[in-house]
Parts: sequence; C-alpha cells; structure tokens
Amino acid sequence: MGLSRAAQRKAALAGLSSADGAARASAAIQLADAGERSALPAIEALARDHDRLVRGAAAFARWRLTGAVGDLEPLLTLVCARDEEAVQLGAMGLARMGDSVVPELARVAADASTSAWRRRRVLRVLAEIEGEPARAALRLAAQSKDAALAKAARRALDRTDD
Amino acid sequence: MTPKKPAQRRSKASPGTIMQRFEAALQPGVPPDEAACLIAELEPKLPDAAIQMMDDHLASVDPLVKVALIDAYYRMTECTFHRGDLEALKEAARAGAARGDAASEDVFAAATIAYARQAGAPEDTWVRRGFEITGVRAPRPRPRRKGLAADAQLESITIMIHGTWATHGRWWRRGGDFFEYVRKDLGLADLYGAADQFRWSGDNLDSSRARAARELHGWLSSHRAASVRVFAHSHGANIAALATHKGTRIDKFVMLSPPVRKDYLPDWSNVGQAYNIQACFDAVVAIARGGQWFKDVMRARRVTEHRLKSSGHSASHSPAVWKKERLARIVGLPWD
Repeated sequence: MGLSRAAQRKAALAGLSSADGAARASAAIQLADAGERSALPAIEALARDHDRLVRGAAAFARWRLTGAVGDLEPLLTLVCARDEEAVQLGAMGLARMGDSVVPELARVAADASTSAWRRRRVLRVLAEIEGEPARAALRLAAQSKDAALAKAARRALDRTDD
Repeated sequence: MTPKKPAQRRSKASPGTIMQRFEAALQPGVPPDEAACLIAELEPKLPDAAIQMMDDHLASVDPLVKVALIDAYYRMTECTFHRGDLEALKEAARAGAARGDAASEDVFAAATIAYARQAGAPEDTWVRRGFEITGVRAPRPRPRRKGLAADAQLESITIMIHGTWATHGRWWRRGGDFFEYVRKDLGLADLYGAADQFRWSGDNLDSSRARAARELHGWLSSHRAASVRVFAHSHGANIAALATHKGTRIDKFVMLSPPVRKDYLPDWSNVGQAYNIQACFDAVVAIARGGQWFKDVMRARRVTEHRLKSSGHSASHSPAVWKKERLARIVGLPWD
C-alpha cells in the first residue's frame, strides 16, 4: 500500500521469482503494464511455470511488452477452466489483447474438432472485445452451417447489444 | 434421459476419486443443497461412467438434486434436451414456485436457470422464464414479521454480488460456502437468498456493468430496507459503486478484491462505512486495469483498507480466509 513507483518496480521484479504463484502472475502483469522491457527474459521464462495462472499472465505480459500475440493456449486454457479466478484472468487478458487475438479466437470458434464448451467460451470472449473485427467474427460465426455454433454466436452478439 | 450423442469428455482427472465423490453426493442423508453444489462442481471432471449413475438416481432423489443431475447431464453430453427432461424441469419449477419455503425457492431457481440455458436464452432472464413456464407471478413471499405494515420496509437487508464471469458460481448463492458463512457464522440473518436474488450478466464490459448498476438500483428500490449492507466481489463492487450514483444508499459496503479505478469510485455521500479487503497478491485485479487501494486514487480516507496475508483473487470470499484472518473484526462485525 502506498509504495513509490521505484519501490513498486523493485517489489514487482522480486515478485517474478516469488514462491507464490499469484505474486509471480501479478508481478508479470504489473511490469508489463509499466513497460518494463528489462523484465522480458524473466517473463518469457514464466511461460514454462508449473502454475497455469502464471503461464496465462506471462502470455499476456509478453504480448503487452512486444506486441506479438504468440501462443494463446495458456489464456484459452484459463478461459475454459471452471475455477473462477482462472476464468477471470483468462477472459480479461484476452479482452485486453483486443483486435490482435480476434483471428485466432475466430479460428478456434470455427474449428469443429474443438469441444463445444471451448467454442462457446471463445465466442463469449469475442463478445467482450469491443470493436468491429470481433463483431465481424461473431457475425460470420452466426451464419455458420453448424447450428450450435451459429446459435451460440447469435447469443454472444445479443450480449453486446446494450 | 437417454444418451443420444455423448460428446467427447474433457476430463483426464483421476476418475476414481471423482466418481467416489459423485457417488457420495448421491447417498441418502446428504443435504440436497450440498449434493447439488457438489454435482455442479464435479460435472466438468465427471467421466462418462457417471451418466449411468445419473440415470439410476433420477427417480429416487430430492427435487433439487434431480434438477442438478439433469443440468449436469446435458452439460456433459452437450445434447439437445430430451422432451421428458424439459418437462421434468418445468414440473420442478412449478412445484418450487407453488410453495414458499426456502428449499422450494432453490428448486425453482435451479430449474429455471437450467431451462433458460437449454432454451438458448440469456441466463440472466431466468426469473422471467421461470414465471413464463410456471404460470405464476413469483414464488410465494415469505411470511411478514408481525406488526409490519404491507408497505413497510425491512429494518435491514444484506446482499451479495458476484464479479465478472461468476454468474454461475455457487459461493454467493444460498448453499454456497461464503453465503452460508456470512449468514450463519457471521450471523447476518437478513442476507437475501430468495429466488430473485440480485445477479447480473457477469460480462466484462463497461456497458454491462453500467446496466447492472441500473438493475441493482431498481432491485433495491423493490426490496426496500432501512439499512442496506453489501458484500461485493471484484467488479461486483464497482457495480454497487455505480449504483450509488443513481441514489442507492449503502450503509455497510464490504468490497472484496475490487479493481479500484477512478471511473468506478462511488458517490461517497451515499455510502456509510466502507471496507476494502484485498489479497496480498492479485493478478486479476492487475489485469483488470485496477489498483488495489483507494488511498492511491483519492486523498480522503473514506475506506477502511485491509491487506490479507493470503493471495489470489478469490481469497477475499473464502470462509477459511475470513476465519483465519479474523476479517469479521476488520469490517466491524457484529453490526447493529
């Protein structure tokens, strides 16, 4: 509480190697949001962390620092989890990545070999990405010959019609 | 409930243990609300073998457990609902609505949520759907306390508000761990858990939160109480904060891991005592573009802020954390 910016940076850098997964995950996000590029190697190392929350946070943080989307699987895994905290981290991370992840999310949503649960979750994330590319992806999915996918996409579009 | 097209299962988790827990939930003597919660929790991990056990138990279990089994079955198989199961859900909803006790309200809520889900309707329309399929106005209201005039307001009401993507969570509903902890252990008997308990879409959009704030204001206007107490998690706290700008008065405002943002500060003139409970480390608050502390975004000390020893976004609604870290004292309980 109430730390100076320099102290926050120092604490976050130390947090990357904390024994607490939540500490590693939040440190990665904070450093990325602060544009701390010197932390990139340590953040990339977290992509192999044993904690799925940390891997998801690292995927987001890497995108934030480099602009490269990379592997979205860590965040998609979180979105498809049943654990509330995991879902929130995954969904919010993907939503913040915005237009840059829309093509990959649209691909997953249209992939008939993917489970219906995963496709529905991805459609909901698309509905939470504001902007035309995500809307266009949802409209396209709503016209799919796959009736279940089309229905889920229409529902996702309805969610955004406020 | 005949399997038509079992979809690929997702689970690789130790099926033996999961099945044993599932079987234990269906044993006689397990309280129905506990069994229903457990079924919902286990569903994503249940192996296909559970489907047969579901069929075997349908005829002999409590109505709430039956609804939970039907709902779990269709989530597992991702099949279109069989007409007979739809009728079973409708019947459960009708029976739940016809009586006024708490257990029946739970059945009404569970059945209509499942019904809304299978019908492809937004799940936050479940109360309206419930009225449509049961043909009744609403579950019968609980008996009024003696001496209370028909248009009188309650002395107090306590409500719980979930956060983003948590509409289907159990912790904030009757039977859920934190709900029951607050109601029983903390002694807040006015904690509202009827079928029309406030809930919102859980969508991660500013517009959804603004809409939820309008709905919360309306909900509290129709559930009038002299004193309003709110436990709200994550963006649920920001919804309550937005509602104060519409005139909602909150006398005790317990914020659990809210992403603190300038665009979601409450109208403090409508807030009595406010508490901000934050985890030691919280990646969700960080990714939500929020801070953890009000003192970082405003000068006036209007909020009692407390940092937990525990970490994680869900720690602040964990009964174990509340007990271990004695949070009841932090929020000034017992309240008058």
